[in-house]
Amino acid sequence: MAVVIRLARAGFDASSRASLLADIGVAIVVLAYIPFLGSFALAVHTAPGGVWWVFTGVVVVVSVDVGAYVTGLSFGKTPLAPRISPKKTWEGFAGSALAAQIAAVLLGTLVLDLPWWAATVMGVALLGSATLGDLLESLIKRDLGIKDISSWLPGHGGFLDRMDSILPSMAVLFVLFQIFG
Amino acid sequence: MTPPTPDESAKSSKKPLAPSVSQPLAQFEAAVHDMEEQVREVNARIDKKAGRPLWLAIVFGLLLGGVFVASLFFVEALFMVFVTGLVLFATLELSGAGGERPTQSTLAARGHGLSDAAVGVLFRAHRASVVSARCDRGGGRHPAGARRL
Repeated sequence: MAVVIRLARAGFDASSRASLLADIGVAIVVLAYIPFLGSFALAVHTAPGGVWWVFTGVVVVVSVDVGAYVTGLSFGKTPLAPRISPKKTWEGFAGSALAAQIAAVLLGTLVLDLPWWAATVMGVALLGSATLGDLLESLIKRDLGIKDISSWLPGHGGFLDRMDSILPSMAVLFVLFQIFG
Repeated sequence: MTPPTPDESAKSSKKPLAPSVSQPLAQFEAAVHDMEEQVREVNARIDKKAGRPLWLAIVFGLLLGGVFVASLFFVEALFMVFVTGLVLFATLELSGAGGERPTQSTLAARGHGLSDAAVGVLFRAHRASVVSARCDRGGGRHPAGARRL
């Protein structure tokens, strides 16, 4: 309601009318990207047995990040998406795929009691969502012309930088939980 | 003639080390100095390649991970607060990124994120109190699913 009232006020103000559409777009993207995707983590968490699913999902996504970072830093040569993020490489992606599969199969079979093929599906799905989330955040940063979203989390590029791959993965995890949970 | 000061007497009482001791000591100090230089160089190279101080990233990453695990397993109700806090910070970061003055809508998005967070925490607390009241009515027996608020 507060959003509607503020937008309506902005619509009547001639000086701010020009940027109204862009403003609406920004507001929708911000709300859909962070609170909406973040709410899937809570939806899974509140379901019976969901705690272990959230744990597994976050560990697999962190494995994707760490695997990509370490492998990319050590062996990275071939750019993955040079126009979006010049530092991301195919070698890093291969490392992240390997780390994701190891984490997903181990945690999926031992903790969630899933069959190995379901754990593999989870690993592939979370690898895709985490990589796309990472690239999406890079695209936003490139569009804004900034290197880091903020300096609030020392050593990292902000809280969103840590959550960029986790947020879309929580929506994917929710779907996986509905199917296999 | 003035008596020697305590510093002077300490210096004069210090005997030079024998060459059999001083030479290995000097070599050891030089080796330690070289190793320190090498470690500093490697750290600088890693930081340059990574684009940010790696040790700081690891420390804060582990800290965040520790809070995540603690809130998930040990204080389950706190997970709601933890996620809400992260979402709120990320919303503030994204709506304020770029260094421009926040527009009406990004301010509204921030306000909406804040109110979402508050409503979420209150909803959680309300559910906790409802389950607790049910437990009390049931003579202390937890109804099915009561542990998972």
